[in-house]
Amino acid sequence: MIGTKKNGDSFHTGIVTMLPRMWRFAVSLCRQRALAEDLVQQTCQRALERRHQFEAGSQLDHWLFSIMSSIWKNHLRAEKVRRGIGVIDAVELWDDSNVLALEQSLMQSELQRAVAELPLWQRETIMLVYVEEMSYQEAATALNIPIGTVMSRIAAAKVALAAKLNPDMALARPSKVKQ
Amino acid sequence: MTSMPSARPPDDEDLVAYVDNRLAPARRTEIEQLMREDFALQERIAMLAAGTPSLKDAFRPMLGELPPHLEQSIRRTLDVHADNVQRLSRRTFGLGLGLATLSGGILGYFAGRSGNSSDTASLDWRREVASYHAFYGKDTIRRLKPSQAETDQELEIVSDAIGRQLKGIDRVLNGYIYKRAQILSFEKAPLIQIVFATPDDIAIAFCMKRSPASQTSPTMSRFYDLPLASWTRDGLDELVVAGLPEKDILAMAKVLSGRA
Repeated sequence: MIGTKKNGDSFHTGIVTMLPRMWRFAVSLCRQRALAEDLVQQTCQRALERRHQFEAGSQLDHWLFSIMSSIWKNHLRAEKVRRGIGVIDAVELWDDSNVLALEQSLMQSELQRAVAELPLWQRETIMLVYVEEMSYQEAATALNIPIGTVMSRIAAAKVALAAKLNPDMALARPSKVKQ
Repeated sequence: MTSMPSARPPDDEDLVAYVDNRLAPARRTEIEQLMREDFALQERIAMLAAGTPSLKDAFRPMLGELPPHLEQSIRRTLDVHADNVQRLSRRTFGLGLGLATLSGGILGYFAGRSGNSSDTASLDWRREVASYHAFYGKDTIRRLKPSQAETDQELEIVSDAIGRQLKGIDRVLNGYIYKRAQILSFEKAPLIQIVFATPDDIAIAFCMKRSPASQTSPTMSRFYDLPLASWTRDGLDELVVAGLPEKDILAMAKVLSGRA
């Protein structure tokens, strides 16, 4: 059993069990190792602070991912405001490419790098749906967005990934592209 | 598309849901009928399907890359918190997050967080800072190597936030290495955290927040098994905390409080 001081505390045990997945999601959000470490730490801290808000029987992993995403976006928002590049449009707000550079060594494979180069609003959705295997609805709940937005983000992300990984295929005629 | 003249042309959202097998059966049938006669649609679906199955495999190795020191740090903190869950759950407002980058001297300021309870009277900022400090791991600190320009920029920002000139504080503690400064928050007000390290990367936090209290001299206490010295000076509550011998903490406190 994964131990904490009180082994009977399933909440703490659940957090410890989740750490590898939290790390993976944090890396995909931050794209820098030091920031990912901070983000995992702060997500744990926030989860402890708000433990009373966690509904017994619900999925701890979804709750932790939601907290992590929220903390990271708050950081980006503050960072953009501080740098004077804060913008109103939600999609632009979560495009972090002009805020923090990708630490290339974190991404070992071509596919990892391709995902890491997507804007935040696309890659967090891709990570939750395809890597964490959430349903569209679960991802929508975790990210606090409508399910239709999840679907449009995924579609846009997959077109972008195809363009990066299979540029010849990506030339296939869009049916009725709505990005 | 003669077989389904009334079917709505699929957009990429439809096609992604089709590829992911998450489309309503009726719509799925419509798309399959359209595909039979539309080669471009077939290509589009093939393009959207490419790569999806391997995403999970591509990111699986990252599960084994959790830094051991991070896991140890969080396990330690969970142990520390195990006896304090009730207290934590009643907290109205705790420490906010300041994320700092290695290269840019960027400070994050997470002010404005709100809570749900009115139980603020029981909060002790020293305990909260010690709780936060328990997260620090050696490897995290080791990687922080700000240039002098970045240091000066960070200290200028935190000076503005707290209303005290902190430029030069990075050179006050002989034998300790400046790592970073952050603006955290406590009870909706700025809390400044300046992190130093010993040569073997033990983190030391020097923190301050505004206070109406009178001047006091450094006094020692202990939270989460961490020795901590706290005092009040010129309208600021200040403390220093680290996993070091009490005599070292007190010596630092005397320097930082101007009583050395």
